[in-house]
Amino acid sequence: MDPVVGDDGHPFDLLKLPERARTSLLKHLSVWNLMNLRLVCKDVKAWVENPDVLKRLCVHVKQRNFLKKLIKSNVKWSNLMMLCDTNDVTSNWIQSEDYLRTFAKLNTSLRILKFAEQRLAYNRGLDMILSNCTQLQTLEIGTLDLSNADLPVNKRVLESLATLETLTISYVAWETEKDLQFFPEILSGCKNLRVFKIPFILQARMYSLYPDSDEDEIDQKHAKMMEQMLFKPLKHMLQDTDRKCSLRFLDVENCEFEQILGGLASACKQAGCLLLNVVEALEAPLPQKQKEFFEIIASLMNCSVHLDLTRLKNLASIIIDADSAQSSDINKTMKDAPLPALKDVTLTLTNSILQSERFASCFLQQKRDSLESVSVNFQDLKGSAQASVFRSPKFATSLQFLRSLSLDGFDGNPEDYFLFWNNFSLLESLKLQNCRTLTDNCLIGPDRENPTLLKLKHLTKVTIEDGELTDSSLEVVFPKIDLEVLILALPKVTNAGLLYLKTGILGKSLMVFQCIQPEDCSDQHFKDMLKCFENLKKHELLF
Amino acid sequence: MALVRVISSDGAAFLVSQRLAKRSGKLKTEIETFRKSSDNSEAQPEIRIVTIRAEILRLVLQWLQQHQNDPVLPANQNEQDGRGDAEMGQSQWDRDFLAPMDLGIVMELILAANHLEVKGLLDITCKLVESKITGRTVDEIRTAFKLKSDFKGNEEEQTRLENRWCVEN
Repeated sequence: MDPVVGDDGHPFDLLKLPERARTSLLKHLSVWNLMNLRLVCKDVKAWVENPDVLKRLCVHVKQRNFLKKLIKSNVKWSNLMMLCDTNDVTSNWIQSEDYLRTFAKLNTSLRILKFAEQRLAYNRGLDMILSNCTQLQTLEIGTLDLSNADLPVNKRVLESLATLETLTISYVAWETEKDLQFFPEILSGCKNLRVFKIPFILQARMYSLYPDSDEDEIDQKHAKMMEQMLFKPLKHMLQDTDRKCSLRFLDVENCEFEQILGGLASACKQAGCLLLNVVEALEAPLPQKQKEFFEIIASLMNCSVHLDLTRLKNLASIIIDADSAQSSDINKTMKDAPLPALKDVTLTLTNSILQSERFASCFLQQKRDSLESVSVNFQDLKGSAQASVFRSPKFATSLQFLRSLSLDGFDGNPEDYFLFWNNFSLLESLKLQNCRTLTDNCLIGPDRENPTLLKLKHLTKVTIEDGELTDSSLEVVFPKIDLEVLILALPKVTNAGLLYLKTGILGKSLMVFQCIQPEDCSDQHFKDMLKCFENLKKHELLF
Repeated sequence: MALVRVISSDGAAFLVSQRLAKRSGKLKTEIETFRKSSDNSEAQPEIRIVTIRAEILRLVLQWLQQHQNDPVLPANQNEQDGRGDAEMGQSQWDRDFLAPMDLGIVMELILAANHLEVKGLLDITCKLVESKITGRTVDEIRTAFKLKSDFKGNEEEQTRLENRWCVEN
């Protein structure tokens, strides 16, 4: 075997870095530094031009001549995110040959295209971009000008749109109602669309079309047009029985039509699509009875590209699954996002995605005084990976206002549990499922007369399923807590253990009791035992 | 405590706990291979690392010891999602650890971390190298890494022109 390093050590040789180190090094460098490196020597230039390095680059195109230079570049860009925020908002610039040549060059590689601040005309230019960029996954447009759009939409554009997953258009300008036929057409082509932002069809044109109408009449006509051109095709898409609807998120930030949106909510629910308003969160204009459909963000997995989490000032609840936590976009913006109104967090973490654990440690160790409920499912994330999140005093102290904690698959040691009991003094609800290492010691601690769990003076609901708890906990801990709800599915508990529960203050406070009937407990004994709870309203046997 | 003897290319032996050694992907594989092939379950594995000298091996073990409670990062972690690894993992201790090293030692440490599959160490050493590139001119980079331009004719000028799209607005 050739020695990897010489005996005497040697000067740093950039070119001899192993592939893994090279990738690790280049992934942190900005585009400017990467371009600079290309000038060092031929070998380093070849390194940088590796498509695997370039694919993460985001080119922020600020001016038109910027693109001219990009065209001249011989760099084989494999995947560029283009953010165009030029001040040039005239609607014809996209027709410029320069732009078209650039996009033609990127036709099979471009995945994300953003014109966030621009007014784009739907004309030959955009038509060509959409027909050529056949791998486009995300398209974001500030204002789409459909004035005298050339309809029907080109067949090649519709074919290209089949790959689109996120379509975000904030505003739509138009000339005749016929222009708006654009939406039913493109929605029919978007076969894999997962995120769609309902655009606001600008109202100004209506005043010139109906000069004799008053404001109320204009509003009514406008609402009718929105319904006809947008909501109807959307509803059709959601209810299409021939093919399963791919839509997962409907962004309603720009939607002002309470009644129509309420009608759409039922179709969304049936199709498994969630309404979300990424900026105003709970202030979305939904009828009160439909609020239940307005789950703000159920999964960030597919809407991360256009979500700026730092702006979600009203976000109250978030569910993050393994895939969304894996997303680098989420990791970057989410871990530090202040989310001042956040009350509930549900996390699913897996071992296959280590990033999620790092994300979790960052996110949960932020100071979050508003957070009341944390639910973590560890799935197959074990041992030290869990510890990095939960063994940190920072985690416990940053969530000191927590009222509900649910852990599934947590395999912490007694010290981890003591950290929780010592810091989460406001905890009212505790749920521990499949926690294999949960022993009596985790609840009792060193002093049997004064169990550590008793530090949670506000605890009213406890659910413990599986784990190693024995009759000892039922004797020493639970009778001393005035719980209202107790749900136990503990395989090691016996009849004798259950009998301890009716003693102490628990005998008076308990209202709901669910448990597995121990093998050594007859039906009659069980019924007799239940009678001892003075205020029991509901009881159920678990199987 | 189960131990393993790790021997450097220049013959220096390091006795370390197997728990610690297993935080290196390479050593973990070697220990498991030894276990499978050994009749005596109590036997102490001995692993020769013929590519790493004692001074460097000591540094790797020192780093592993300091980070023994960190989660183990997979060597093949998705690169696109791995942004920020080094920032996440780099502590004041890491900075103090790397501070006195010259680039030659850093290079050896990178090669050793790569060979022994210690992702966290690889990340922080690469981050150090990155800091020698970030914001430097081309000449400064060439000097720092003892590299010479091998562009011929107007090749360098041509590359410079290609770069204009990102360096000038």
